[in-house]
Amino acid sequence: MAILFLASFALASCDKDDEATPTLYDRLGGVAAISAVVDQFLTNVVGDNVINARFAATVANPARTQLLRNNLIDQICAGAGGPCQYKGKTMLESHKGMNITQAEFNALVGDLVAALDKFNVPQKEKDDLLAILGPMQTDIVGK
Amino acid sequence: MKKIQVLLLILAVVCLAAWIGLRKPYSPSDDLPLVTYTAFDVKGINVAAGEALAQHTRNWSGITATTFNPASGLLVLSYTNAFTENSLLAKLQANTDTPISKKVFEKPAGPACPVPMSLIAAFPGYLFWAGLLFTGSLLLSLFMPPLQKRLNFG
Repeated sequence: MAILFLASFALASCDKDDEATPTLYDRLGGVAAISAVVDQFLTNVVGDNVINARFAATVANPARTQLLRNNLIDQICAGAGGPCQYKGKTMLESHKGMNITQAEFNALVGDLVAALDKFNVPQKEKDDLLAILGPMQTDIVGK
Repeated sequence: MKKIQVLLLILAVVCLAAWIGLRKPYSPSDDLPLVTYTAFDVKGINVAAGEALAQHTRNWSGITATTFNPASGLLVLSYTNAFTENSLLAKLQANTDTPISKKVFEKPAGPACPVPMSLIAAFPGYLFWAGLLFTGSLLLSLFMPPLQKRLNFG
């Protein structure tokens, strides 16, 4: 009876393992891959004349740059189901009073997509990631 | 002596409690190597040469990302402490005939925080070490007199 119980428990566990799908975090390649994409994204942003003036003070200050980079990595990692904790302000708090335009937001998204493309991130993962970040637009544009 | 011990206890508790309140939760990104971003003005370089330079630079050890933007004429690099701004500029210049200079962005108008960001980030750590120091001093003051008596120092 005990053996039957253990066998059925083991089989049920196996069944669950088969059903478990990897998180977006796993599919993206973990924190190292996310940090590579974020570095590429930030270099794209700094090179982008449409929005780089917004980041001038941050780029001039290594501690601020590091904070922005780690916050971006944590935000993507946590949003994608990874083990990171986002420690920054909310999007609404951090963009309040900046009057960011739709064109500037679109340029930022374009820089992110270019970074994802550079690493050949598959379309599904790209769509999933943009679906997580997209809703933040309402807290960023025109605040 | 008692008053000093009470003061040390209060300081230790206050510092450690403040550290617990201010410290940020651990995240795997905390273990990543620090990087710096620098933009270099490469105006005048043609698109193909700019892209080739960015591609070539990406292979250098210590470079984590490169972007060449033909519209802005900027080559932007992120790099670990394997490079300094000047060493990177010198190495870049050695790889192209186009004059390269560091891009200095205009400082944004408006008020800026007078406290350096690095100090704000490091503050919880200072509280932790101060708490440990006060705790250590307290323990020393508690156990030193009996030890002195036992060893007949006092």
